[in-house]
Amino acid sequence: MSNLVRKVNAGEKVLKRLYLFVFLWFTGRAVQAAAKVDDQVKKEFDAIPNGFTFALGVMPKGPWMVIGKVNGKIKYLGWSIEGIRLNLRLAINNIEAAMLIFTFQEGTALATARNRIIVDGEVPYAMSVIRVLDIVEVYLLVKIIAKLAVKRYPVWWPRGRKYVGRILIYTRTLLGF
Amino acid sequence: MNLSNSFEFTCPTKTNSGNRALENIPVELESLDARKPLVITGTDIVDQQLIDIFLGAFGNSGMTLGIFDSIGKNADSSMIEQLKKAYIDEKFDSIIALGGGPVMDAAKSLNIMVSLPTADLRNSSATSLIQKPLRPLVYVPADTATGLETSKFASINGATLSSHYFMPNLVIIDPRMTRVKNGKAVFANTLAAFCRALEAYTGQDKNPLTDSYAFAAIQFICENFLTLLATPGDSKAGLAIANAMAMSGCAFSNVEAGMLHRIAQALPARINAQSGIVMSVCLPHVFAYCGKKSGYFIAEALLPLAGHDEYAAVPAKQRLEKTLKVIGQFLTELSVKGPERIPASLTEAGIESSMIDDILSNLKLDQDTQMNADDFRAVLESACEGRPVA
Repeated sequence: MSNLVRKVNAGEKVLKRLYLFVFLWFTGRAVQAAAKVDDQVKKEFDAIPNGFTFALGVMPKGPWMVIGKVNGKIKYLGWSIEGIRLNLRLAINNIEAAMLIFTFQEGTALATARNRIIVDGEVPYAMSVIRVLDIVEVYLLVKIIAKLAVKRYPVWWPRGRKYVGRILIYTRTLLGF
Repeated sequence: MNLSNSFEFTCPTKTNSGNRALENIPVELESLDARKPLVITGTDIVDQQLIDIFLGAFGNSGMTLGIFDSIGKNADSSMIEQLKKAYIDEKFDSIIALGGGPVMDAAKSLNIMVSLPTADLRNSSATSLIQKPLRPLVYVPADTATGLETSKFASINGATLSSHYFMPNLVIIDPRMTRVKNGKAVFANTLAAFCRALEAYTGQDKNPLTDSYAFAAIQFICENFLTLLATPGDSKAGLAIANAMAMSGCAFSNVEAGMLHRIAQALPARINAQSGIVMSVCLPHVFAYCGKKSGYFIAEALLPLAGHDEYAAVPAKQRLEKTLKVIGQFLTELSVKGPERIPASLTEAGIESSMIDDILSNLKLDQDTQMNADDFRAVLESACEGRPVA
């Protein structure tokens, strides 16, 4: 490199990447659990063909949350998209945009409107996935935070659905079944 | 809307504006098939703190950047030659201009040199035409933007080259970068962009697409300039002004340069007045003069200047008068609240009526221009004396 031009390697944002890794890992397992617990999530996934795989994650280096429908069951397939044939990819432009979304400073709808998320795949399936993620966030988060994350908080849900579902989803997520 | 004349509009620039826009650069570069950018900036032009924020935006991208941060007040051709060598040797594939004015001129110059290997800046003339797309060029404005960065013009070796290929592929406007530090420069540069947008909106060769860009630029400046002057740290106002400047450059690139811009470009080198200030002194005189000529749409400027309600409330025949009044009031308010007073006449700005001949000879008027030397003389004489145009 000539003295005129200084060479700089882009740094790493280790803590933010770690946070996103844990968040997406937990949410992925929660989606798998919700597919067994919540009727609306089941219905959304019933409309998706068997073998369908989708990923939500951060460009360019991840982490990702890869979920697929394997033998009729929804499975969390890990954090890497290497070697996986994806039918749908919801890619967040960069790690800072991902932090805005996953620390609930920006809801999914607002982030999409602000061009922070790129959808590769069929839009109806992408909408199904977004609806599922919204439902899972309602289960996982307390109301005050979930209201920031979802477009419209489902105040019409019966209490039983929310609290019993929450216990079941947390249990299944932590135990991984 | 007059669509009787054919028109052409080119704006290849994608704009990415708003909170955390900087962080989109790596993804946007990938979409331009670029992964190793050379960043050009100047520590005299852009604060080191801003350069650090800019570099932080590449975190986790895995990219390697080259940084050249020694651009001075003018782009020097020997320095560009050295940069060309570094660009080719280190296999950079794109250029990012961080900051305005000379930084972007240097970036545009370098882009010709690396995209067209036979080009020689020392032999380039104002009539040179570039007929081939150049390498990806990204522009990140800071508070030193002049509004010409997004235009099709590049100032190289004192000459001005023009090609739509000079317009950047991408403009990234982030409020962290556009916070005002140099109030005087922002004041003059915003005035210049305001005048260019007004000329694009009211010129004879305007078209519906230049209207859209110019309208938004004028409106953004009218709504946010005074706020920015009162609170220079206001990031929302800073962002709006940076957007307005970028839009004014696109609009201006698609119309013939108006009288205000031409006068500012033709000022003799010995005159130490900022072009934005000179343009704003001349603005009421040029608009009063053009308003009397057919083919100009001066009265239409009332819409972006004053808003729909006021425009609708004024009868069509009174709109020209009202437009001039609104412009006069706006400039007076800016003069009172700005970091420096806008002079009442060109003489007060240091341009004597004896210099008019020098300016006219610098204008290089040809038969194709909409205004002739008599028109320019009439406007300059009234602007020098600060009296209404005859």
